[in-house]
Amino acid sequence: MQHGVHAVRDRTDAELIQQCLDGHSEAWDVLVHRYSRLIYSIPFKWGLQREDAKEIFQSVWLDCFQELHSLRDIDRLQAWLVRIAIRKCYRFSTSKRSRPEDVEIVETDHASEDPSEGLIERLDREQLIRMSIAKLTERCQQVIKALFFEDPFPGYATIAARLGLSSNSIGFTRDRCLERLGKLLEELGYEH
Amino acid sequence: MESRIGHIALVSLFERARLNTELDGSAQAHLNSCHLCRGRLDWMQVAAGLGVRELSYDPPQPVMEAVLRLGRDSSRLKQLRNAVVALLTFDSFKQPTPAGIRSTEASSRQMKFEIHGVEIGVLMRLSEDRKLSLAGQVLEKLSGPIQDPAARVDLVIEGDRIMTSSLSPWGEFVFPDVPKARYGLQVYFLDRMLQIPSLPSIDEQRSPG
Repeated sequence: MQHGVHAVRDRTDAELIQQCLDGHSEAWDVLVHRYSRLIYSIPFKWGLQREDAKEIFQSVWLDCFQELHSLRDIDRLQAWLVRIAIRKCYRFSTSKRSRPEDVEIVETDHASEDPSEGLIERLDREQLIRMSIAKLTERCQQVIKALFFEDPFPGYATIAARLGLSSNSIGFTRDRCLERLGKLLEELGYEH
Repeated sequence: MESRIGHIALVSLFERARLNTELDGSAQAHLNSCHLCRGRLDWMQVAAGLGVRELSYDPPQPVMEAVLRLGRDSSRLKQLRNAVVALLTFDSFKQPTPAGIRSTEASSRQMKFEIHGVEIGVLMRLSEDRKLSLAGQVLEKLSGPIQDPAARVDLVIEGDRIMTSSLSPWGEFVFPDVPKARYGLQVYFLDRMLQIPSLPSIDEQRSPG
């Protein structure tokens, strides 16, 4: 059973989309979880509020669901999702007159938007990090999340205690996990 | 601090990225000339930049559940599997212009799309303030209006849903005063979905008379 879940998780976006259309709801679950943080983070980066973020998140996924038939052949679902999310943020922000200071909007005749390349690049890199972390072992995921995402930084002794390691060996584990994450990022095409 | 093979130790890069500790002079000099170490520092800085906010980017559970429920909606999935593109069969702009009408004066455009025995009539109007109104009717050629109280039409731009209109009992829909743009329509009824990926623009030149 566990093996089956992993098999679905490792599928490409195109394979998952086809499985969704074939009625396999677990494929939809995997797709949504794969990009949920990415999509939910965009309204916040745009300077919108939590209530707006919730609405935009649901709206993006509703659009995605209703476009499944035409997304089967798409190369990069992630880019499509980001584009739709940014458009919705743009519409929210223009209606509420809020806009992040670091995002330059270029209006087009489509009443659409073209935020700075910087935002999209940053979103791409962040997503690669999320996807690489998801491929680590459970233990390495714990280490990496503690190292990078906890505030304040818990310290090596605390991380070691949580993992049941001696504080002497946490350094090896930390380095192995960082090394592994770096390799996974490289495999996924992370560029700086 | 540099490791035995000459690159900066991962822990030093991590602490530089996460804890803002300074690299010593030789490590800093190495960093300036080493692509590998700069690459490592770059991803660590992006990861550190995500920081504590990353854990707050988990959507609230009820929101997530609402989204996940979509994938269990078998009737909607059936509509998507049965999606077809409707074809343009009539366009008022392709009809000869009556004498005395200049091609640039058109403020409305009428079209008809058809597929599998269903007709979608669309009337596009441009107001004086350059807003667009779209109205139309969906009919089964043989039996008339669509018999489905849940039938609806979505107005979309490249997959991005802008607005939804329910179909009236006579199969009518309307999208009043939308910004001028290249829209598509998606009609959902029973177990079917008809798509007009991109409506012709109201700005196109009419055929000469």
